[in-house]
Amino acid sequence: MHNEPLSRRSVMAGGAGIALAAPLPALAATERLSAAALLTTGTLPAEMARVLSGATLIHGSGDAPVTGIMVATVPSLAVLRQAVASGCNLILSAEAPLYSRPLPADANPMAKAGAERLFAEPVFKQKAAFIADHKLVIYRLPTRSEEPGPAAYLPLFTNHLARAMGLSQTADGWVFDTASVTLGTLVQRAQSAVGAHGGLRMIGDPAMPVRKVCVVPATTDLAATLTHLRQADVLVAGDLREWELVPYIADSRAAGHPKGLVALGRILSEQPGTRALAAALKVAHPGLTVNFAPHTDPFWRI
Amino acid sequence: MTPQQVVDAIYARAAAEGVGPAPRPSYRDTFKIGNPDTAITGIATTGMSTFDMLKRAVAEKRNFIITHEDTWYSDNDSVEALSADPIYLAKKAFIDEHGLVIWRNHDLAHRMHPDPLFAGQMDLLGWKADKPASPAASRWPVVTLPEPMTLEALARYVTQRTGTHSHRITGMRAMMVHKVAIGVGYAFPDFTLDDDVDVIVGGESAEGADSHLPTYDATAFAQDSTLLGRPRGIILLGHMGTEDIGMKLLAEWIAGFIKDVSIRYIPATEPFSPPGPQQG
Repeated sequence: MHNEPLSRRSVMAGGAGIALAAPLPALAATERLSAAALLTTGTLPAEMARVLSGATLIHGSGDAPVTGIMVATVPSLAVLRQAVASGCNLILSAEAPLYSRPLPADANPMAKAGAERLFAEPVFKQKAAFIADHKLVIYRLPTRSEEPGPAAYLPLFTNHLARAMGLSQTADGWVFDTASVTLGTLVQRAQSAVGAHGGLRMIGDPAMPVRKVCVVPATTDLAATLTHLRQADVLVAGDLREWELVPYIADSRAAGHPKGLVALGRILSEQPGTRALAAALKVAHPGLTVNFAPHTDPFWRI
Repeated sequence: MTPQQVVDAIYARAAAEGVGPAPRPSYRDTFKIGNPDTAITGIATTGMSTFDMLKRAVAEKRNFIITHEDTWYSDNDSVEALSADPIYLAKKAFIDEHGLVIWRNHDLAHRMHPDPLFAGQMDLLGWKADKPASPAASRWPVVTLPEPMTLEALARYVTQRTGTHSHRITGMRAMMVHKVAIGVGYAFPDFTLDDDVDVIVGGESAEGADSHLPTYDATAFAQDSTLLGRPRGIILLGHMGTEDIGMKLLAEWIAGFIKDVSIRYIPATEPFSPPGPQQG
């Protein structure tokens, strides 16, 4: 993993097809916005604004003046160190630094005891101390809507994953079109779009023709995904449970209605969205350092 | 003999072997489809009653399926959202046509001593568990390797033993592994149960930080731990790469007291296609 300062070229690529409004004038150090204010300032495409307005503060103070922004999918210790080294105190990430959701106030005693044990564990302890010592402000970006009803994935993540694979939008926000390709070609396209290696798994005949692709980044909600998957030939997903849609798709061939699966892993499936967000923030806040920390596939195979 | 009689005999035998009553009725361990009073022509046990597995069972004239995992794509096997689904309808039609009866044995199997799912996986891996460090850790087999080896060598050994093709590995290839914790299916051990565990060899685990503590993203944790100078790694063998084989032990156990009908293990096998050459 390396720190990737955004070039103008990557900004253009990341924001392809999005009309960006004129950026705000650069702010002097004394006029630095607070983290909380920054999330709602600057003109951004609606899909980006929606994600920022739904971001949850999980570490630090939202009142802290922002010195620079680090956007990442996973706020790993490597990413946090890069943020500090490049003068960024605001971290915007799709995942959380302590590998979980914060303990709810009404957690049962067993969960509380388990959490206490983990907070005393050296890796948890050192990471929490690093965040506190450097007064980092970390917001978690939502990947799906919190509104009631079937979980809807936020278009920032769905659309950018689909675009990175060369798919085109349909009226159904989950199902995308492709010029007729084989499943094997789609797998290769997905692989190069997100940089997947050992983490990629697939189901289906590589020669199977594909026209409709259901794109579900992050985790895969069973009921909602099933509804949309019926309209598609293939599911491109991040993380899946192996007793839900995995056997459903594996059964599809024996059922005479073959469907394909391309499982990318959660992190890589979220990354086109976080990358695009970083590019748009760079444009919206030209006076600020905005860095993006790309992740390589966490998995390898032999 | 009927499926209901076999299930009754299974519960009676488990109780006789000291398996206490369930804390609550299991929604998992129920008949999923078919008539429990059908005459059995043969029994098949399996990690998962997939469509392909059912076809292989029918080819062997086995009409009673004992599955560890679900049949209808969710833990509670609800078919409510599937009533017009063509894949569900085709699988159901096949089951009806061949008069199959499916019963899930998940919770009971995991309450047995030893748990056949863990025991089957340990046999497959060729390892014996260390003496548990604490009563809390006794659920999770921990193995001190006879000789330390690199994660890459361990991955080679493990995948040769299990024959999996859809495994995924995280961690430094060259890290030295002394101690391994074993998981099966979605039962995934926690690194902090034993600070000396270098690598988890498990089935599947949720990626990302959506779990509530004390469950956490083991992959992200292992990467940070490695950066801090304490290398840790994970080998994910998949759900069926870890819980299929235990149902072979269950078939052998049932054959010990059900003598009237033939019983055999039919693996579900991994759902994923073999990887392409590019997946390095």
